[in-house]
Amino acid sequence: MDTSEGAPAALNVTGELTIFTAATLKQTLLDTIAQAASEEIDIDLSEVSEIDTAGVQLMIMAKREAAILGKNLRLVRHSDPVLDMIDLYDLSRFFGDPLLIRNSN
Amino acid sequence: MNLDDALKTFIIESRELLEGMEGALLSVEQAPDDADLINAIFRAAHTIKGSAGLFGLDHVVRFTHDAENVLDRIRGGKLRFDSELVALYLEIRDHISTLIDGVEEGCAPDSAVLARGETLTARLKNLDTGSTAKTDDNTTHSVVAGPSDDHVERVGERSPDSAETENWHISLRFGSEVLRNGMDPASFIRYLTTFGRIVKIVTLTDTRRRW
Repeated sequence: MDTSEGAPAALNVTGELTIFTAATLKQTLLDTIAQAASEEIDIDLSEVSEIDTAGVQLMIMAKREAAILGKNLRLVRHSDPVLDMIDLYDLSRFFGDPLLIRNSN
Repeated sequence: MNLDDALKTFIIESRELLEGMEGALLSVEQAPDDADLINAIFRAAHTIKGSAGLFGLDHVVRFTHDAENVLDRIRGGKLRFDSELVALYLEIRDHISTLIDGVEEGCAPDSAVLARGETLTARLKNLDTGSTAKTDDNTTHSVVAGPSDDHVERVGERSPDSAETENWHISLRFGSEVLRNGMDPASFIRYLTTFGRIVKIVTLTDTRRRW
């Protein structure tokens, strides 16, 4: 995690973002948000291999929690499974982060 | 709870439902208009079909779907339980039970089981045409304009001031333990897409308290 002054704080989420990892990830996310020296926080989702509804709930929680603390949390570099899930629930507007448009194939 | 545990739960629940279904079938012959009994029988088939869909058990879904359709018509008063229909549904119940046993053993149904399922499905379909042909005798179990095979139960009510469309409006609220119990609402929504196309979906994100 990069906490140097000025640069956004960052967290890489790797592997499963599911009910099986939710409890651990929740704490990691809350700690990252609370301890971030910068007001900008990037959550990198490029290495997320699997996501379920618990994972979506965690992303919603992270957004909210950051907003409550006056920080701007961005979800970046969404992997395909994450994009599929955001599509399914039609939550792209809620998250408000730019999504890369995928090739249809 | 992992997938194996969830599948075990499905098998246990299915057996309980089938047991209840048998009891209700044995009683309904004496009380063919008892809505509670009819609903219990319908709910058993409906729940097993829905859960089987979540596990991708297509053969269970297919068979139960036809059984459920006729039950829905009985529920709607378009068809009535008589001894013949009760006997058929007891056989259907036994067949679902066989399919569930197969799921537990982890093996696909063999040709004998499949053939048996087809025979029962054909008898259900015959019931449609057979009863329709009898409409001139004015019996209470004659069929009035049977609905099409594809049928989705409406969960939410269409609001009276909304525009009339061909779309279903379905409102879902899941229990807070749903994920912990091994079921993902996303699977449920994906399963719905096998019946049609989702035109619009709105996820309510603001109903939970702070974590």
